[in-house]
Amino acid sequence: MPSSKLFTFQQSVAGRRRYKTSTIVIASLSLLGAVGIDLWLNPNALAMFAPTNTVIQGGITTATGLSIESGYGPVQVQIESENGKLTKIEMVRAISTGGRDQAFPILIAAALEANGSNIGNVSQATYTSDAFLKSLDSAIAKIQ
Amino acid sequence: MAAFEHVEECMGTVFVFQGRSDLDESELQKLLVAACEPLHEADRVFSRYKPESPISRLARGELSVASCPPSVEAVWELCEQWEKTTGGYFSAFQLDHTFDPSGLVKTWAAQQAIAVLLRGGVRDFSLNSGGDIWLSDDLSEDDDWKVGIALPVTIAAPGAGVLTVVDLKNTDFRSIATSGTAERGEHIWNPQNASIAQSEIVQVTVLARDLVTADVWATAAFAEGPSALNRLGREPGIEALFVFSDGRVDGTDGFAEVLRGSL
Repeated sequence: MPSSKLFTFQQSVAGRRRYKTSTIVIASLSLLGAVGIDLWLNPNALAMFAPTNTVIQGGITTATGLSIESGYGPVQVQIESENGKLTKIEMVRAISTGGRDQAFPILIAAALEANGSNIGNVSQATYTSDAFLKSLDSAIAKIQ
Repeated sequence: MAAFEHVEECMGTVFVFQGRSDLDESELQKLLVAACEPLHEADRVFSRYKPESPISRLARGELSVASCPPSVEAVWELCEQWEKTTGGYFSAFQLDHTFDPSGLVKTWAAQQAIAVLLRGGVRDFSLNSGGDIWLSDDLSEDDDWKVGIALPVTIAAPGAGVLTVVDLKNTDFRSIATSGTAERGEHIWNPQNASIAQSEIVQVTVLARDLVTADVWATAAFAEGPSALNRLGREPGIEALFVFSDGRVDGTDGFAEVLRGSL
């Protein structure tokens, strides 16, 4: 499935960077390799890409993608934007059984995107005080 | 309410208390010292690195359990219970039958430190015990409820960072523990290396109500290997996220729920 390449964990690590929002949207929308194949084989499948349901309220635009049936169950993504900036990505319909391989990388990336800069603590395999001090040093160096 | 942060070095790692309190400065300092006492006491009794610790003397056959401080028997029993609960995958007994409860003592002592602070009237705080995180019910800052899960690399590595973030507000989970080899360097984790035929676990993160439960299950899952995903999925009160050596991530259905709630 070509689309899976977009959101594999390998990529996020190899790139040593947080996911770009656009990547997640593309990844979420192209979640189902089947969709691309359907389009190729059956032009009627284009109906799936009818305009999304968009609501603008109090400066916040909420757009809901169509529910897409996949081999893994229905998938639907909702996004919110404020002043042109994407502020929230939500899977409004859960992926049913068998979708784990697909669901986890997307959810993981989306949760990081939504909260990555506002975290209180990081859970990690037990580190030594030595590793802690080294990490602290490098963090201080980055600030200076 | 004044914000505070207290860093305590103990058991070869670092404990970080962070929160807000309306106690005055000296009262809070006194309470923090008292909270850290169970950590140092556990280190004195249970350290295998200290030749004169009761646990080292027990291992050498110089002491019996009955002649050790009472905490040794309590921890012994706790370890036996956890060994049963985890189907034998958590064990404090080495192959030569030496009792080594170091997989449990850190979070066991951390829970006591937490209890001291709560009793002293500090209710709005988190504790990071060397990478295992506990959150109080009364955390007032939304960001404090959000806990990052590290990439499976050591925090001292230049590429250290966060794999994802879970928001534990409005969940029943107050503890999150991660087990893996990132800090020990036993496995070279290389998701680009497709030659690893059978994927191994490089990291397991467990959510639970209390710190010991999260810690023990993370250790047990890591010891069991990939089949632990099914076992942890059936266990009530915990959820888990697995990272495999080929870069795949997977988890329990309930963990996916928590991630959805974190968006």
